[in-house]
Amino acid sequence: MRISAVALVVVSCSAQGVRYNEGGEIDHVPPPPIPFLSGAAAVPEGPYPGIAVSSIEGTTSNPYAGDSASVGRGRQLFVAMNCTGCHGYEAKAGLMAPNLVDNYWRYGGSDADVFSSIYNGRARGMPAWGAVLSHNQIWDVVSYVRSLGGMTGPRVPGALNENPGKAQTPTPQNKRQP
Amino acid sequence: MTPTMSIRGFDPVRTTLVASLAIICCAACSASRSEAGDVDLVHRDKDPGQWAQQGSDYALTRYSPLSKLDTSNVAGLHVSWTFSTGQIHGHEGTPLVVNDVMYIVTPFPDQAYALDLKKPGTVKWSHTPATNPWAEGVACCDVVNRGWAYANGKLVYNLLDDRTIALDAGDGHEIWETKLADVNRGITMTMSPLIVKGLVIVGNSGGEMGARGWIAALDLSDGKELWRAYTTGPDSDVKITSKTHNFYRNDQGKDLGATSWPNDAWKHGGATVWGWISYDPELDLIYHGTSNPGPWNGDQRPGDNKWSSSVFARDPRTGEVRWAYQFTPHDTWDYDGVNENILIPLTDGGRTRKALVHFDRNGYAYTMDRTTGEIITAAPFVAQNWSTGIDRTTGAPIVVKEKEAHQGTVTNDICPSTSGGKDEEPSAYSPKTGLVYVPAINVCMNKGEHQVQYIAGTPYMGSNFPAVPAPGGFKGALIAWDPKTAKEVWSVKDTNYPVYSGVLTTGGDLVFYGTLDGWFRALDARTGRVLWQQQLGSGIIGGPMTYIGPDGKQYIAVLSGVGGVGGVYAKTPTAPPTGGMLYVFSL
Repeated sequence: MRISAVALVVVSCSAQGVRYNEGGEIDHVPPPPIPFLSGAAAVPEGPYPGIAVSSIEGTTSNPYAGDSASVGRGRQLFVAMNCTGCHGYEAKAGLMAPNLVDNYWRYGGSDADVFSSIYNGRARGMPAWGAVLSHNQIWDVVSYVRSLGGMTGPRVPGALNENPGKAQTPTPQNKRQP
Repeated sequence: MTPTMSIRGFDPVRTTLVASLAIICCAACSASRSEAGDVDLVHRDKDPGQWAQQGSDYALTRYSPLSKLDTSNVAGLHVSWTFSTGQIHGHEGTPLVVNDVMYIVTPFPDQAYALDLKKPGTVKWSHTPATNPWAEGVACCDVVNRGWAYANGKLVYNLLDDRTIALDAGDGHEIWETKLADVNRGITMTMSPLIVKGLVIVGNSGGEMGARGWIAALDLSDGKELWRAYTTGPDSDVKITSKTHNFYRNDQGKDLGATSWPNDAWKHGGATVWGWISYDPELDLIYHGTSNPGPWNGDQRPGDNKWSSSVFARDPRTGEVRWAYQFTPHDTWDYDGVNENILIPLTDGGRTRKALVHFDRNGYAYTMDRTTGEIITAAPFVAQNWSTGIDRTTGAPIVVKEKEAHQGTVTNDICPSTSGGKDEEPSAYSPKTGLVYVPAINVCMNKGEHQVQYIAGTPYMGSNFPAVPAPGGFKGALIAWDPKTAKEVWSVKDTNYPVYSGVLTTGGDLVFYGTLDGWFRALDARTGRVLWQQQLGSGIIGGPMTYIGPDGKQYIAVLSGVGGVGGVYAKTPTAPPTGGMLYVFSL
């Protein structure tokens, strides 16, 4: 069942916040306004059939390839969807999620692989963003991740499962570290 | 029967009497389920050859009266046997020894091993739960398991995926399991349960994920949830009642857990309960802390944000609050209040006061009256610059405005960093020296914040916080602290790494701790002189313990296997890598 996008829940713009001033009395100050960001109040665990299953071919490439505006939108989404909290502000791994800058891709580093990881989610904690973000938004995030330099070329059907020119072995900092 | 002060080896005159009463009471109490767990542990705590609780006793002293190993012979310590845990994540937690069996639990997937000490290194039984791998992606600080508990023939611990399980300590089969929360709401469980009065007390993690904190009690016999108290929201949710008496003015008032937040921001306010719990059997109170508030970006939540970064004293049977105190109101530095509260006696002139000592993330060492929550002393134990002191009328710290973090800006050189002056790694107390031995961190940070939206299952933070050096030229220290004078007596400093291990003190006047680059050390408890050390295979973030083996020898055991937040500091070119191994030492 598709979960429809819901407006932000954090702090309501119409009501007032509470703070203490130096005299210990309560001032009522409005909380800072939160601009509307496309997204949702919840995104499901992935991957589960029926939640979000991408049907793109394994060789599909990013329709926004080479589009620098897409990279910019992707970075904005990367921050707004809290990806930085898990993957780090430089995407070089945070405490919860792997490095997106290096050459090691547990689930594959091609456009279609990375799209699928974001869209479907993954079993060790990657949410299923396909339930709340559009295809184009997810391609924007793929654009941003590709701009970091570590992604690979497309898989070639029938060929040996190797991507020329890019190492696939994990280096020590790629192992699931805290 | 009135139990004595729950410090092991502290009151030897009463030991025999209490042990006899305990044996009689065990038989009489077997029909009274609610008391059984308690009596079992109080009885075992009196046997220095066993180590039946993570913190050695209900007071969390991490002290053993054993003295076969002492300052004169510890230099001869060597590895007796080892056991691989098969896991590469962080090994927090301390081995237990009960009836010649050692119990350990690994990090995710939280496998339990019972090791037969009569044939050291052999497995009596093991249990591998089917822990949900999705939990790995929502655990902020590595997929650790911070501790496991034993009582009445059961081994009880939490799975990362929000289940508490009880295994038969004899053969490892699962007796019960209880699910307490959902990982897709960003909640995990890493803390060490406390078993008291036939209850299993547990709490949640997820202060970085917009979770709402809670502490709950399960029936030891069948896992049924008996009560749950929240840590934010109205008094009825938090279990603040007319019998609650908070000592300080800023903690007094109705429904502060809701009114000190804008709107209903308290529903995702963090204040989770992921740290240690201590218990005073005479006052019949448990003591626990709460995490930072959520989100990390404080400008989204003006107000004191109670009851984040606080300490609670609660009645274990009902969860009702006797008193609470907020260490760091409106925290914008990730100064969780979850660190252990060690229960100690404090003699002042002729009288002995029931005190607790607590080394907070915010850099202050607090000695408090644990009956009332009054601060006796509070002094910084590492470099700190976010406050100039604690106002003893309001109870609030006096905040340096320039060191607050704000949305859209970066504040530089805030001390301590988000790791705090001490993180969850537990300190230890010696009733012989009267000192507390503190595994300390001396690191500062730059902190920037931005607006963040709550999306369940994702981090609710909005903050970037790179570490920068602190004054003093060292990153960590093992500090011997006098809780009465609030002064450092001596310290062993580490230039390169914060200290992230637990500490053990012994009747032989030894202090054991480990470093992030794998050194396991024994110090003289009175002078701090390093008497013995050995390089282990990986950094140490767990707690050392000691026991008497079937052969009558005294052993020291510790889990090596770096990770947790300490693991980030340990990622240097020369530090050893991850990898779990139990080490057991003897002469």
